[in-house]
Amino acid sequence: MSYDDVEIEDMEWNEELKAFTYPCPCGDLFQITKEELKIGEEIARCPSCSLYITVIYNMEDFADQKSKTNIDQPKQQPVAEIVWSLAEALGLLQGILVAPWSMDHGLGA
Amino acid sequence: MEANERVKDTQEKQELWSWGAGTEGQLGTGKLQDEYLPQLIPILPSFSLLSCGGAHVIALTHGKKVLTWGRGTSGQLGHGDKVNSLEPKSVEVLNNFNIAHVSAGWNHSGFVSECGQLFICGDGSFGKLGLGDYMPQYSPIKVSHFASRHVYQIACGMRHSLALLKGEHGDQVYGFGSGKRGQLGISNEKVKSVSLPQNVSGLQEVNVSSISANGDHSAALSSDGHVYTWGRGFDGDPDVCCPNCVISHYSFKQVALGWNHALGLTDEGDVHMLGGSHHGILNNHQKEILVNQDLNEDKLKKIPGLNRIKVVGIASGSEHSVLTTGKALLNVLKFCAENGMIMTWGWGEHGQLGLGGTCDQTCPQVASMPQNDAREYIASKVYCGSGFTFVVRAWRPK
Repeated sequence: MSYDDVEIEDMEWNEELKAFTYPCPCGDLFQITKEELKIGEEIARCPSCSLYITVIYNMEDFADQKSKTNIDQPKQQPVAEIVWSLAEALGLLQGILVAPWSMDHGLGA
Repeated sequence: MEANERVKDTQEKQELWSWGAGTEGQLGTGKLQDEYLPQLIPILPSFSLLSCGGAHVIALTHGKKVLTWGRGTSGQLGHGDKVNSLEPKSVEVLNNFNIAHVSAGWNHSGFVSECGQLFICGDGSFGKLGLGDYMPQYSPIKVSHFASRHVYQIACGMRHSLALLKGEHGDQVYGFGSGKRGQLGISNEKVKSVSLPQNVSGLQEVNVSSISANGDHSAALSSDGHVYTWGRGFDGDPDVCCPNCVISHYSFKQVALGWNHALGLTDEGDVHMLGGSHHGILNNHQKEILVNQDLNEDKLKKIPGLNRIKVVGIASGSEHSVLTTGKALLNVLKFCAENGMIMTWGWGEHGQLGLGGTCDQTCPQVASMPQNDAREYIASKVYCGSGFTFVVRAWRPK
C-alpha cells in the first residue's frame, strides 16, 4: 500500500540525486527522476526500505521541453513565447525553467 | 520530537542504548548499520535530554553542553560542515552558552540557552530556520527575530518549527517554516510558508508547559493538562489550521507526535493515541469514549495491553512508539513491570522496535534490555527519531 499521496509541488529537487525527493519515515528519501515522470511513472521509492509514495503530477508538465522550442516551433510565435525563448537563450531564467514548482520554497533547482 | 524532563540527581550514572535505522550513523555506535536489538553506547557524559530527528541526534549534557551525531548533510549537526558524524561530537559554537533545551527535526536543529536565546542550524528550505531566508546554516546561528525576548523551548518538525516564549505577556507560541498542512497555526487559512516567526493564534489564554512538532503535526500541552493539536489531520481527517483542544476527561502530562499519530500520557499513567492508522496501527477494540471537539466522534484510543501497568514516559518515531514503565499498580504484577521496562510497537522494518526482528507490532511489546547484576536500575527515559530509538537508563550501584 502506498504510504502517502504527495503532490509533485511538495517534493524537493535534489541536485545530487538528480531526483525529486520527499522524506521517508525510515530517515531516507523517497525518490523519482524526471525521466520516470516523463514516462508516466507515479511511484517514488525509498532506496532503504519497502515503503513508496504515489506522486500526483501532470504528465504534460514533463513533456520534452526541447521539442517545444527547437523542433515544433510554429511560424508565428505568440509574443510571450518569444520573450520566453529569448530569456531561455540568455539563460536568464536558469533554474526556474527547469522546475516551476521549485519556486515554491525559494530554492532554485 | 521533543522531551523536556530534567534529571534531578546528578549522582546517578547512565547507560545509553540505541537501536533501529543506523545507516547514517544516528545510533552513535560507530557503525553504519541497522540494529535490531538494543546496543550499549560506550562511555559518554551523562545526558539530561536527548532529541532525535530524521537521522541525527542532539544530546544535552548535565553540564549544559551539546553533542550531536548522525546525518549532517544539511548542516543539522552544527559542526560547521555538511558531514555525517558516526560518533557524538561537541557543537563548539555553543560552548560559550549554557544550553537548556534542544530539538532535532527532519534535517534541522534548534538549541535554547538558559538565558532564552534561540540558536538554529541545518536545512533552511520552507523558512524553517526562522531567519527570514531559505538558506542552510552549518553552524548554530541566533534567531534574531526574538531579540531579547525569552525563548523557553524549541520544537523542530519535518518542514516547520515552533518556539515557546515566556515573559510578562504570558506564554506565546510562534511558528515558522511550511504551513501547507496548517502546522504553523498562525492563521485560519493554510499558509504556504513563512520564514520569520509568527504568533500561533488561539493559545493566548493558555499557560503552555511544552510544545511538540513532528512530521506535519504540531502540539502544545497546557499546564492544566490539556492537549492542543494542529496541522495535518489524523486518520485522514481534514487538516487543522489553529490549535484544537483535544477534549478528554483525562489530564495529560506528556505528548509525543509521530508522522501519522500522537500519543498522550495521562496523569494516571495511561497512554492514549490519536490517529495511527498507518504503521502505528493498533487494534480498534477497547476504544475509550472521548469526544473530539470538532467531529464529535471517538478519536482518542486507549492503548490496549497495558492494563495495570503505569507508564511514566512516552516517545514517538515517525511510525513507531516507545514507552517506559514505572511500578505496577498491583503487587502481583510487579515481576513483569519493573521500573524502567521498555515497550515498543508500530513499524518495525529497521529494527526500531528493538525486538530482534523487523516485524510490525500492533500492541506494545517488551524490548528486553540486558541487565547488569551489579546495578540497580532507577528510571529510563525514551526518545525516538524517525526510524530509531534511544533509551537513557539511570542506575546506581547495588
